[in-house]
Amino acid sequence: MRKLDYTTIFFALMGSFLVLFILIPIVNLMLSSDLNSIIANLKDSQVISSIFISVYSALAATLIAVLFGVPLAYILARHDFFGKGFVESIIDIPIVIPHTVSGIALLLVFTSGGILGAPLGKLGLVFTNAIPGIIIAMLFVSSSFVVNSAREGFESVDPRMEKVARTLGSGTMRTFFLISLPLALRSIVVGSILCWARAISEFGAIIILAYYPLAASTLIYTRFVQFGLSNSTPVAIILISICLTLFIIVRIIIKGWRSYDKT
Amino acid sequence: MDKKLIILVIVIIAIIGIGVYGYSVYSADSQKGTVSIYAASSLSGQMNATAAQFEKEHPNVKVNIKYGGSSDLINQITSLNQSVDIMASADYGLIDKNLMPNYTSFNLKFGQNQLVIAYTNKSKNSSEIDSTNWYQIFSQSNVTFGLADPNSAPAGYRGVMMMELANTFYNNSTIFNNLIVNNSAITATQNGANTTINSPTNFNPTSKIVIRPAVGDLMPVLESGAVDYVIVYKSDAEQQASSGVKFITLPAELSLNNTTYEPSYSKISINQFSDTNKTKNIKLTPIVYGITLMNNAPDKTLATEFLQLMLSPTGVQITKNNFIDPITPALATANSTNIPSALNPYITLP
Repeated sequence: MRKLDYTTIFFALMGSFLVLFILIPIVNLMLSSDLNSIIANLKDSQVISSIFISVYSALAATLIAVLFGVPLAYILARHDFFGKGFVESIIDIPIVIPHTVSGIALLLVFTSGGILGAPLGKLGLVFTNAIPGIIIAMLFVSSSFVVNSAREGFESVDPRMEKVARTLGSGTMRTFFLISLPLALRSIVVGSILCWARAISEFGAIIILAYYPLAASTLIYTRFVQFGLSNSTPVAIILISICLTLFIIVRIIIKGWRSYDKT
Repeated sequence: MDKKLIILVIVIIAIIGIGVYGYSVYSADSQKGTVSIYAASSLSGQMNATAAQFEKEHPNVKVNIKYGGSSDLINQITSLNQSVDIMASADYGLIDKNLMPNYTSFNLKFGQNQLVIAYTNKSKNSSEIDSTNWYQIFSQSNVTFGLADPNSAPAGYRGVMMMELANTFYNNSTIFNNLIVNNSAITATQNGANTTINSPTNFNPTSKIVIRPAVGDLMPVLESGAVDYVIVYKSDAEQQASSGVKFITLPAELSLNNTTYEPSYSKISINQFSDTNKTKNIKLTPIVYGITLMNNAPDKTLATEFLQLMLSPTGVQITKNNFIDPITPALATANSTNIPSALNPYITLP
């Protein structure tokens, strides 16, 4: 057992304040409702439907973020170009601005008369008060998690390994899929989890763009306002439990990938 | 390595496939019919119950209701061009002023309510409060009270104007100043017998007053103990009675549900957004709810059927059960035109 010096003890003490600060409200919330109302809410089709909408939309947003963000991250990791700092700042903007501002910005563009909403509307895609709207609101605010995490992952892959593969005759795309991607995969997955979790918890941008159909976060808010505290806590508990479970499962799965780390 | 890649690709395709299938099922469902409603937050009990009954009678139809302060909701229709089937306002006058005739052609007065002061066991001095001393309890230094935002909701401006009325009723000219003027950015000016209250965009409350955009938002704050007293509608307080919410009624002159006192009400008015060039003047009137079908309603047929249910004896009973006093038959305002004939059995034409 390592000897505990005063620095470790001091840091542990400071850290435990933060841990308790997060733990106490969550535990208090989980214990605030009785099992019967939680079970009754689990059978409520509105609750099930809104949780499904939130989880699935967040998944769709994460997949889109991965599909477009991983290539972007690779380019940012491997190449220097004019305007690179500008691009990196743009990706981080949605984290910095208030959620309602994101919602308003998206509303102006994706409404049925907007610059993107009108042409996409002709293809049958409606964004206001529809699931595509929820997905793009989630995508807007959480995509940077994937890009930043993937970029760090690619940066930690030694470029020499890629060059070796090239000298052995592998094409650029094949090198990417067989060398770069697997080595950066853990960072990409971690970034995707963060993206997915952030997407599920989005509220401000969603209520402006797509108040209906009710996502889980919107439902909890309406229950809170229309029916009071005691009616909103069971749904909140259900949502927290689902998020925590999925979070823990994915964390366990990627533990086995430690063997790919550099050290 | 190649096997894992293939599995990954299969999983991704499967997820996309499930998603596309789920989405097509979802959108097929919603094509059966949707009624979209903007309603005053104090109508949440009544509207939710009416919507449940409507969905029972019309399977595969979804009623989507957005609640909020009536001024805010009407603003979303006029400034943001939100299209919606039905608008139900806690002040019928707002529909007359802002939606007629450009956005809608008729206005039906369908319900009444009154102001009360709601509290719980956690409220300070709640054992002493009654309809004669509430303003004194409010003025105690450690007591907080809550109001809806006068710029967002009729409950807000009615609460503020009621406090001005209280000056006359209790023969005490300091009430309004003590409680409202000293704790917010609101001011009042007298011209002769009339009082005009100015409500700037930012209420700027001190810690004594809790402001929320809609009257229903005040109830969770009250229940959590974060505020002592709230000025809400009787229906809001009755709906939360099972959560331990109690209320005192106000004297008939102040509760705003008695047309006898209309002459004294009309002396008081409020300027919403008084610090902008978009200011709107609203006179104090008894509390009467109005409802209308919008001109550009996405689904006029279904929306008319919803109104039919709401104004029919079944709907009137639901309204009563949810503590709104129904006006039946509903009264069409004098300038209403083009009322769907299906509603005629339940209304009095102008």
